[in-house]
Amino acid sequence: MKKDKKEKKANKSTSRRDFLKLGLTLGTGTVIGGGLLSSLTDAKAETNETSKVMTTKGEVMEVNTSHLKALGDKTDEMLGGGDRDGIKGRKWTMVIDLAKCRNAKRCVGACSTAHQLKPSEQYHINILRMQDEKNTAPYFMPKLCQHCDNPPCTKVCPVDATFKRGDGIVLIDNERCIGCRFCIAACPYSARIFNWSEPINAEKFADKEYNIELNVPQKRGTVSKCLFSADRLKEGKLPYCVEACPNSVFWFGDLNEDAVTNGSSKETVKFSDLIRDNAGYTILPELGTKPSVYYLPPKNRLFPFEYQGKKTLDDDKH
Amino acid sequence: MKYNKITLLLFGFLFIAYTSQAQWKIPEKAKKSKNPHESSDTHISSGKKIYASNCKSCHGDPGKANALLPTATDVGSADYLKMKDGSIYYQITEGMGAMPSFKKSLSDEERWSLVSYIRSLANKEAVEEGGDENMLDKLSLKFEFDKASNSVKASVTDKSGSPYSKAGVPVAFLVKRYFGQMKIGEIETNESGLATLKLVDIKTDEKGNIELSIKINDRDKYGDVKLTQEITIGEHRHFKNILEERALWGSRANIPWWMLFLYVGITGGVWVAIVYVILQIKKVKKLGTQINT
Repeated sequence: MKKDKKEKKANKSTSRRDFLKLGLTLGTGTVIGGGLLSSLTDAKAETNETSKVMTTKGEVMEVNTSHLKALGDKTDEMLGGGDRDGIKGRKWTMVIDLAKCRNAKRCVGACSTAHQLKPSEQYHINILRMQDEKNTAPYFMPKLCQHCDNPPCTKVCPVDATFKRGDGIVLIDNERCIGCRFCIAACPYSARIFNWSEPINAEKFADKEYNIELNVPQKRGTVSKCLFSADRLKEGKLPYCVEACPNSVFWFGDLNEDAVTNGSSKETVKFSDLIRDNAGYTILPELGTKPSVYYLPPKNRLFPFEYQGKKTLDDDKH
Repeated sequence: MKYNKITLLLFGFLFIAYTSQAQWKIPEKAKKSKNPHESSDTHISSGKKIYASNCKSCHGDPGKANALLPTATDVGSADYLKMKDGSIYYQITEGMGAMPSFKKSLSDEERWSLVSYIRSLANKEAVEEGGDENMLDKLSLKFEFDKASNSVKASVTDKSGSPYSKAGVPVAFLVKRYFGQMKIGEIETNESGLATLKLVDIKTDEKGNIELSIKINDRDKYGDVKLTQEITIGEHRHFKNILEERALWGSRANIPWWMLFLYVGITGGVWVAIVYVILQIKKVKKLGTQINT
């Protein structure tokens, strides 16, 4: 019974997509000529008939009817909708070892380059300088989107632009986003940023097709945040930040496999052992957001804390 | 001109990086300190483990000159091994430049184990040079999974197919994971050439399979001996797809039941109330017309 329902649901959504496909690939002119519909499925012999179609970038063009071909399953991909289901059977997780971070900021650099963020203005990863109290030791703490399993941000989105995938990643569809910034207000980790002005190199990337798994090109008036490098995971590669870190701070892996791999040493270990042996924790667990990012406490640190020549933070920064 | 300046600067940095290595100032007293532990196998193997987790990320594999940090010395190089035990110990303890101090993160014994391990590299080289070349590629591997005891039994045989009777061949067991091979254990063979590893809580794929590789973890002595095979060790697994859950964060199709009922209830209630009021007003009007007539 349940399966039937699911199938029905799937059919429903595909039919909606089909409708969208029709609406977008065929311009208004073509819909009038009802006979043209058949030419979508099989190419006809060369005729002089032309029809107007709208490209994925929204330009209306005229082509010979016989050249029209339906792309079927590829429609979503073409429209930049991307993969809303995620990689099957995976549940991505990240472990951040605070003992190893020395604020090298390579992760930040790699991330900003990949996602076309404005340097020293927009960040998907922030390296926080932490000192809980006057007498406790300060440490650096990379903080990114926690990819919660109970995400407050997707609950508040009025247009279903931000969503959670089956493999645990929370993504944003910038082409749906209306810039209301409810999600920014809802996120307790302050992981989201807003494109207030025209993004960097806007003209250069104007013609580039939008990639939902990379959030590029960035769009003015929309929200952006860490994507766990969904485009890299698809290719079996570690995220940009994880790979860039020189100090073995980041571990990344699949919770279903119970394994995480270090970005610097490429060593793969059992996730459960790593968390148990090092007393791993998540941040703000009391909110019930169930983050996918775990932290290991800054114990046995390899590098001393030093920021702007100081060994501790100022009193007002605690 | 601009590029010239940049290359000059780069060379300058390289020179500084190069010379900084030579500038380790080691006090005479430290140089003379001796390893308090005898170089036993246990010390060397624990040193090897410490090296893998603390040093390898910069220094790379010893003797292979594949340091990940360009300025990090290859501790397996003959030049480096000319140093005295005391000097190596001092370097690990105090650190310098980019190399952090391990005074606090490693105990005294652990640091000396590291020295033992690094020192053992020198001996290995000597063995390798005068060693038996024919030893290479002589061994072959086989393994089978025993469901009753939930363990993998690896057997090492020589070329003729009979069990390799010299005990102590290190056999590493690796499981394939999405981003790399995960080591689940390393067992030394016994006299009958067997190494048995019990599988504890190893997660399988959807069909209950894992891709297990075993290899002899002593390349210098036995060469590259590796075997990879997919084995079934468990039941079919079902991965929970969080998109099937009914949750507030989900899309409209996955709305939680309580919310659906609450919403429908409230909206329906309001409509019922409106209709009721309209009917009452109609009744009043009807009554009014009745009285008038």
